[in-house]
Amino acid sequence: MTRLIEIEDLAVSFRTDRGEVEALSGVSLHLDEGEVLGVVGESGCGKSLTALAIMGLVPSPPGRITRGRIAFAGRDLLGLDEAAMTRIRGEQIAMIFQEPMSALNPVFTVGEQVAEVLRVHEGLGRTAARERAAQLLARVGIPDPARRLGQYPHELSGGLRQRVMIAAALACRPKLLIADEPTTALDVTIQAQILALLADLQREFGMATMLITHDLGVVAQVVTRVVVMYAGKVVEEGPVEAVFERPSHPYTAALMRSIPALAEGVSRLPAIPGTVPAPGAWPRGCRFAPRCTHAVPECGAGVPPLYPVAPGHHAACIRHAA
Amino acid sequence: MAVEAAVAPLAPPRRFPTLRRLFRHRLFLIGLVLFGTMVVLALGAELIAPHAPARMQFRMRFRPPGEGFLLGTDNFGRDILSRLVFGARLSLGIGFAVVLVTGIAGTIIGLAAGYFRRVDEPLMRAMDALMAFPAVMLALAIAAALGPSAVNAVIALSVVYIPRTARIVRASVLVVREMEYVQAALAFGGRHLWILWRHVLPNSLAPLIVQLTFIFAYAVLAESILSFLGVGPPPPTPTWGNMIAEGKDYIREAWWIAMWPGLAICLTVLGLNLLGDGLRDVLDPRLKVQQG
Repeated sequence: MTRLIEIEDLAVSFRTDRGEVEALSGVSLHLDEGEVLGVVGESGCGKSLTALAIMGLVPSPPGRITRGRIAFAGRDLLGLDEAAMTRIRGEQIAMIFQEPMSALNPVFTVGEQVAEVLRVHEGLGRTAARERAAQLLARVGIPDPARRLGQYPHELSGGLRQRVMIAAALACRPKLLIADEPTTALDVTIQAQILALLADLQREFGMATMLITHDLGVVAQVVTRVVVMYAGKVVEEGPVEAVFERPSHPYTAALMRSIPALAEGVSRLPAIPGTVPAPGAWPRGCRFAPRCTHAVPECGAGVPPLYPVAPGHHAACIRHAA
Repeated sequence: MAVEAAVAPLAPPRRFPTLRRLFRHRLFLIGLVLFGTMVVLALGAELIAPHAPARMQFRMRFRPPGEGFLLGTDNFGRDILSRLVFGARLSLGIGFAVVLVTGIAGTIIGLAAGYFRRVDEPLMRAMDALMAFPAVMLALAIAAALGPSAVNAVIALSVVYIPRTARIVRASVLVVREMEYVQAALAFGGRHLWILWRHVLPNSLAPLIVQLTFIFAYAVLAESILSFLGVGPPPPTPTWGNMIAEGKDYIREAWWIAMWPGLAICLTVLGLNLLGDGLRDVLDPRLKVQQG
C-alpha cells in the first residue's frame, strides 16, 4: 500500500499569556491509502489539533507549527501557500466535525450547503450542483432527499445533520476523510448507523479515513490501525487487534480497563487517577509517569521514544526498551 | 380511538415566523405607523404640499394654523405644511443616506476587524479614536470644515456613526467566527472572503439591523442639530432643523413656526426607536434579557 499521509515530528505551539506553550510535541504518524486509522486519547491530548494541522487550519495567531513535516500523497503540505491549500481542502482532504448541530449554517438550506462544496470545487452551476447534492443525500441514506434539500438545519435531527455533513464531505470524493468525534454528540443507535455508513462509504470510495475519537468501542468496530495519543505525543500505535490484545503502554492499558464490560457484573469501573496535564505543565520524561501504576524513577530521565513491541506495533514506554 | 386522537395532524409550519412576530408586537406597529407616515409625507411631498415650499407671501406672514394654511405660515409668509413635507424629504433622505453609508462601511470594517486578527487592533483603535469625540461636536466640526450642504452633512454624520456600527458588527463576527460551520466551510475548501460573505455576514446581521434603525433616529436628530446650527443644507431649502432655527426668534408670537418641525422630529425619532426596540425584541432575544 502507498503512503497517503506521513507526519514526522510535528510540533505545534500556542502563544499565551504565560509564553509559548507546546501543545503537540513531536507527533509522528502515517496513514496508507484506503486505511482506516483510529486516533484515540483523552480530551486535550492533541488529537483534534493533529487533524487541524493536516488541514492547515491551526488557528494562527496564536498557533504556530514549530517543526515537523506533513506529506500528503508525496506533497509537503506545510510548504503550500493558502491558495493551494484551499484547493486541497474539501477536494482531497475533507473533514467532518463533532457537533452536527452547529456545523451547518442555520441561515441556508442543507441543499445549498452541500451544493456549495460542488460549486466551489467543481465549478458546477446551480442546477447541476443541486442535482448532485440530491444524489449525495440519497447515497448517505437520507430518505426523500428532494424534500430534505429545501429544509433548514434546524428542521433535521442530529443524525440526519451528520449525514448531511458526510454528504458534503464526500462531494468531491476526497482521498482522505478526517472524522473528528463524528458520533460523540449522537445517541447510541444513531452512532451505530453513522459508523456503519462511514465504513460502507469508506469501502465504496476507497478513501482513507482518520477517525478521531475517545471511544475505544468505536475504534474496535471500524478501525484497522490505531494511534494512541497522550499529552501531545503518540504513546502507542499498531494494528487494532494487537493493541487490544496486548496494550503495551500503561496508558493504553488503563484506557482498556476503563471500558465498561457487561459481563463483569457489579465491580467498580477502574478510572485513571488524575487528569491530562495542561500543555506547558508537562512533566519531564514520560508524560504519563505521574498517573502511571508502573512508574519507576527512570521514567523521569528522558522522553521515551516509540519502542517496537511487535512488527508494526510500537509503544513509548521504557519497559519495552530492549 | 385514543391513539388516533393523539396523532392529530400537526399544524403546518407557518411561513415568515419573524414577520408574524413583528406584527404582533404592538410598539413595533406604532413605530411603523409613525415612521411610515413620515416616509409617505416625504415621498408624496409634491402631492401633499398645498403651496410651493419657497413661495413667500408677505401679506400672509405669521398666519396661525387654520384656514388656508393648515399649519400656519412663517415669518416670510411661507406655508409651513409645505415646508414640513419637503423638509421631511431632506431630513429623512439624509438619515437614510447616513444609514446606508454607515451600514456598508461599518459592516466592512467590522467584518475585517472581527475576522482577520491582524487588522483588528489598528482598525478598532482608529474607531475608538473617533468615538472619543462627542458625536455632535465631531459632526459639527466636519460639517463646518466641509461647508454647509446635504452631502457634507451625510459625510459628517457617517464618520460619526461608522465606529458604532463597526463595533456592533465586529462583536457578532467574533462570535460567529468560532461557530463550527465556519470551521466546516474552511475544511471544505472555502476561501476567507467567500466564508465572510456566505457564512459570517448573514449570521451577524440581526444586531446590525437593530442598530441601524437607532442610527437612523440619531441621524435625523443630529441632522436637525446641524441644520439648526447652520451647517446643514442652507436656506431656503427647508429642513426640519433650519425651520426650527428660523422659528425660534418668533416663538413668543408665532409658536407654530418652530413647533411643527419640532413635533415632526420628535415623532420620527420616537417611531424609529419603537421600530428598533421591536426589531431587537424579535431578532435578538438575548439582548432583550440583558438590557431588561
